[in-house]
Amino acid sequence: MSKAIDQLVDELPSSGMTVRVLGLLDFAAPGQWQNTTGFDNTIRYVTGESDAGFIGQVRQRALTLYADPNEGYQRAVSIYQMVDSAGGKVGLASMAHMLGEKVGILSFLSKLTPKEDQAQTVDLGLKLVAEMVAFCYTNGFPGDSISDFMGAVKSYEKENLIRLCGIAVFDGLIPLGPDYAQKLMDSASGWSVDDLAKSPIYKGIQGVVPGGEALPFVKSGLGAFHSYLSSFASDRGITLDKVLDQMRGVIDFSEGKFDLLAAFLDISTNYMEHTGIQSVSRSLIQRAAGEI
Amino acid sequence: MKKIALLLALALTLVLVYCSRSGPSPEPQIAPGKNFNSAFPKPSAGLTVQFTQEKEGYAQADLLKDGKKMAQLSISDTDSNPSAREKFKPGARTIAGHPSATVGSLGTAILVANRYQVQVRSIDPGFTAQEREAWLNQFQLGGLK
Repeated sequence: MSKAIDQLVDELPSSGMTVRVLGLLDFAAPGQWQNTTGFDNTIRYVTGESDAGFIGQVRQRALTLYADPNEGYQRAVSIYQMVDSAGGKVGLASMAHMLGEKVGILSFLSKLTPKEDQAQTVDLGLKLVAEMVAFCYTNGFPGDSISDFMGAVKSYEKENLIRLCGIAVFDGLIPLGPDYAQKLMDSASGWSVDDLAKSPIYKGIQGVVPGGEALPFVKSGLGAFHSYLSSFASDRGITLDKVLDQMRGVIDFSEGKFDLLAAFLDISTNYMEHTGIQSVSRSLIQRAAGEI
Repeated sequence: MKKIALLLALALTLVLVYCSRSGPSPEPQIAPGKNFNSAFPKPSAGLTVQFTQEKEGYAQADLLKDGKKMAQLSISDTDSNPSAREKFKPGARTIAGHPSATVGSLGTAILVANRYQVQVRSIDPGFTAQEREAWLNQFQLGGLK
């Protein structure tokens, strides 16, 4: 185990590019996400309790559960971290100067490598698969039926929902355009191992994807997501124009150069890890409150 | 939709098989969370039950009204955390025939068969202690032995 969950949550930033761009997605999920940092704060936020004795008990139980690798929470966090570390990020130190000012992409041009549609589509698909696997490690397989499970996924809210919005917008809509879901499904049906092996995300998740053979799992997982993903943007009023309107206040980018904007978001944010740690903490704290 | 459901079933079966193989076997005396699912209340009075978490010795669901989360329902095997039993004092008030205790200011729990903690926690501030007690009475506790 690299770090305990309280340390991970205590170290979540309260500002920076990741927090700023996640905040821009509020229009798609109004009021759903607040950037709660600090483990005790998170316990108060999740449980609604303020008594120090209660918070101490929940904290202790949550730390015990997280420390047991068989419980799956560590694995879930490691999946979220791996997905975000796979892109070769600009160091956080170089992001520091961005706080509170509008960021010009031009100054990062030498570090930006737009992905071809195929590589971007693979990334989008693999992030969705990673999300599905991390959900199962975090929450198990709740209920007795597929409909119970899909009900849990479809009732995503708060950190989970804002992360899905992030995948749809930052890895789907901006780089691939409004028909990103259809592009993904059309592309995924023809994927071979060779296609996926070029992706750093694939290299990271193939060891944790169930069943030993990653490709069938990726394809069936995406098949399961298809109908949900297809209407995800329209159900939430997410359009490219709305997203770009939001982005203009924070990032200075050239119109039409959406591939560069996507590449910039990829290297300058870690929204999967950030909200993933918050999601795992929430499940952990809810369970701890149920077990003390 | 059928095809999607089948694909999902395959994917999730693989997840379960993989998860069950990873790491050493769990302590045998802790009841699997899936054993608790049938004890959860059935939907009633316009409220639905949405399962949200299932782990070794623990199962959890949300109580929803028109999609809004009103309360968190859970059953845990206290053999995995025996100190949880200490709050159920001898002679405590009973609910559904089982000793009860508060858990923080928003939770009400009962201890079934001196082993299983069944808890209802308010999520919506308007979900009262009386409603928590009423929903504790809705659990099918006969199977928890």
